[in-house]
Amino acid sequence: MMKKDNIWIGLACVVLGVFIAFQMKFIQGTYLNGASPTQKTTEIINELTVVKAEKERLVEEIERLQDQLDKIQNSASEESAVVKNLTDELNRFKAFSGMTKVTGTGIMVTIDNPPKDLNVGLEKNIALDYKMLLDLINELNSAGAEAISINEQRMVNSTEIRLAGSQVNVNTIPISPPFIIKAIGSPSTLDGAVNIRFGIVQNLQESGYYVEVRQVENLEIGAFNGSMKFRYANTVK
Amino acid sequence: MKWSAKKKRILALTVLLGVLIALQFKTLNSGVKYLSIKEMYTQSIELESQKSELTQLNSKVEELRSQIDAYQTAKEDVQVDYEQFLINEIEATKQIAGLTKLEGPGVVIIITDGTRELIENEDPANIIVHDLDIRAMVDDLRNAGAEAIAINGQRVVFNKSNIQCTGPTIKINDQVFAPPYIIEAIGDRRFLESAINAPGSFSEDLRSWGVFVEVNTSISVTIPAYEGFVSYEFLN
Repeated sequence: MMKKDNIWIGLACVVLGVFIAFQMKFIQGTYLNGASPTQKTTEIINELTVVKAEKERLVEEIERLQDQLDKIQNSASEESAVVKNLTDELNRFKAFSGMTKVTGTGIMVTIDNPPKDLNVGLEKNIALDYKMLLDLINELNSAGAEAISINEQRMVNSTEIRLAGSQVNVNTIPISPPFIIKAIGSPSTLDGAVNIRFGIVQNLQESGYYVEVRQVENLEIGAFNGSMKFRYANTVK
Repeated sequence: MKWSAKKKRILALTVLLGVLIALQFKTLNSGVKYLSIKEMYTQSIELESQKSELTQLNSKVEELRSQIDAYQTAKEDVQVDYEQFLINEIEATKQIAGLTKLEGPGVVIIITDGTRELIENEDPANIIVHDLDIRAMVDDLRNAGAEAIAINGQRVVFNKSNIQCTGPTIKINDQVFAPPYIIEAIGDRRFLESAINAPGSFSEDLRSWGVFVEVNTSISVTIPAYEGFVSYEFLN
């Protein structure tokens, strides 16, 4: 009787041991993956949440201030026709310089890195091929785009697209893939211009990137958020 | 029923084991989030990007506030002529939009096709200036803080200027130009010059191909206004 008990207990111990080993292996294999559940991670995530909330608040604030400014302008325009004309002209130039939020028909181009292929040693990163983005934007411009943005960064006269590390700086804001490029204009013309045979979309696809072009009925492109002040240039008549 | 000492011991051990397993599960599900290094890296880039956006938005808020103040005083103060104030605002916006002629310190860059002998079977395209070369240089200049850029006397503005290859020539603002291309830019002379001369810049690549690139700084560069139409069809 005593002997039989021992055998059972031994068996149970073996099974348990296997289970515990399994559990350990599982944790090391999938959860940690070389990283540590340190405070750093939690810190980054918490900070990200805070920053995002702050950003939302600022966007609302900007909208409110913009409304306030519009109201002042409108009430002034009601007083005289000259002021109204001048205000309209001012708004036209503001739209041209990219300082206003605009809506309209257009296309949306999504570019992303290809899914990671473990067989290929080198990873493709669209940020390193940022010259293709320049080409795409030039192509959109020549097809008559009236406003363009990359990941919500409005393209204006001073906009640069710059490789910085493994991401791209646009308007000095670092952005990372997927890149979503919005362009307002005639949807079919813009679509045709980028999808032309041996054109930029084909070029990108042949380089292995994921590209999707969609015609959109109602696009919204935000205003340029930075400040534009000339320090060197002066107007001459 | 009387339990033997051995049975008691086994009971105690199994209870202990159960507690340990429960603890193990507990630690796994506690609030600590597990990220791989790769994910952590993406998150930190995201954080950096959001933070710089915050600074941008903050400056925008400041600007809007001061604008509201300016409008308010212009409207309410009898001393200030509101119409004149609007005219000044229009002038300032036109300047930013690239619709005025500008003058200031800057650089003059000359790019032209290379004159070196081709190596046997070499593609002549190697030493010719292409539209994408000009685009990349304009991008380099913007990155160096150029306030206004013109190519062969054509002002480059963002949405309206396309730089397009048209065979041996290049089309800028719908006008066709042949080499040499003269790029003028207003801004900090040192920054602009080093944007073209620095190692790792695009022009260095061009030079190594054999394309001729020369930069001269100047205390006074004049850049014409953009002369196209300001009209929109699709914008609201």
